[in-house]
Amino acid sequence: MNKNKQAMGRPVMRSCKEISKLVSSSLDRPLPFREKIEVWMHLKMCRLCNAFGRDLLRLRTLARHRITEKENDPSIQMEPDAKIRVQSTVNRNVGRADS
Amino acid sequence: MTGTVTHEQRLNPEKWVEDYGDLLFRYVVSRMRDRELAEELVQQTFLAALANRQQYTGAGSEKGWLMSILKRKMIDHVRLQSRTQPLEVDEVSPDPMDQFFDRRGRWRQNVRDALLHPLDSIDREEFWPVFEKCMAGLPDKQAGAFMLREVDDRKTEQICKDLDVSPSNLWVLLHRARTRLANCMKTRWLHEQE
Repeated sequence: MNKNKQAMGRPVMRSCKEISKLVSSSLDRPLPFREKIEVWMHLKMCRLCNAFGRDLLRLRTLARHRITEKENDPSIQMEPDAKIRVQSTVNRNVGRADS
Repeated sequence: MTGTVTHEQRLNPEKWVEDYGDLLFRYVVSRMRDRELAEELVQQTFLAALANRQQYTGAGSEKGWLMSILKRKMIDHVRLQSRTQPLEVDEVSPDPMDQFFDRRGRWRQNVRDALLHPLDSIDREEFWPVFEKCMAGLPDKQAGAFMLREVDDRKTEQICKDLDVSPSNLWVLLHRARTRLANCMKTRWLHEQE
């Protein structure tokens, strides 16, 4: 198996740097079979890359939850004068739109 | 044909700010953190909605329709804002990932501690100030790609169109954003524990 890889001119073992790229892209699409195996084998031995993978998933969850919370936070509001300004701009343009 | 109300007549522009202003505002602020920009995009949304009111088919709610216009405005802003920024992918500039990996592609020593501290334990109050600072440190294109993919769960093909980037460029953007954010957040958070 190793001989085949060397014949193809590819390194026998991927570095953490390369594996981290694959781990990242696995969040967006399924990995091709060979890459999936390489990542799986690397993760069996490398606790750092394992930690990295967990971090990415955790980051996704955290970002999603917290931003959704902020979206629904009633204390976040436009300034009153901004509201007045925007509404008068809208009102000025309502007339124009009717034709 | 008297008595038939057209779809666009169901719209109430006079009440848009009161009914939807804060909702739209919050959507932008939660993602872009810039309140002035948020106000600007809300106004642009209402004006675009007025200009295109005849396109309202009544298929969705007034709220949903306005939100979809806002989302497009926000994406357009990110794309245009980051257009002049180089992608950091040319060979001339150093690979930003070099700060995390040594020449042999192994994780650098100073990054290992942060890696081995799980991100799980960061709680609600601590999250926001740290997240905001770390997001502010990302190039606009990376921040935009991160938001669209991680928070809005948009498909990669769609984000390529949103930001006018190729799929391979998008993967680079996402990888850099994710790696930097995860490391930045843990580093800042760990320092704040001291």
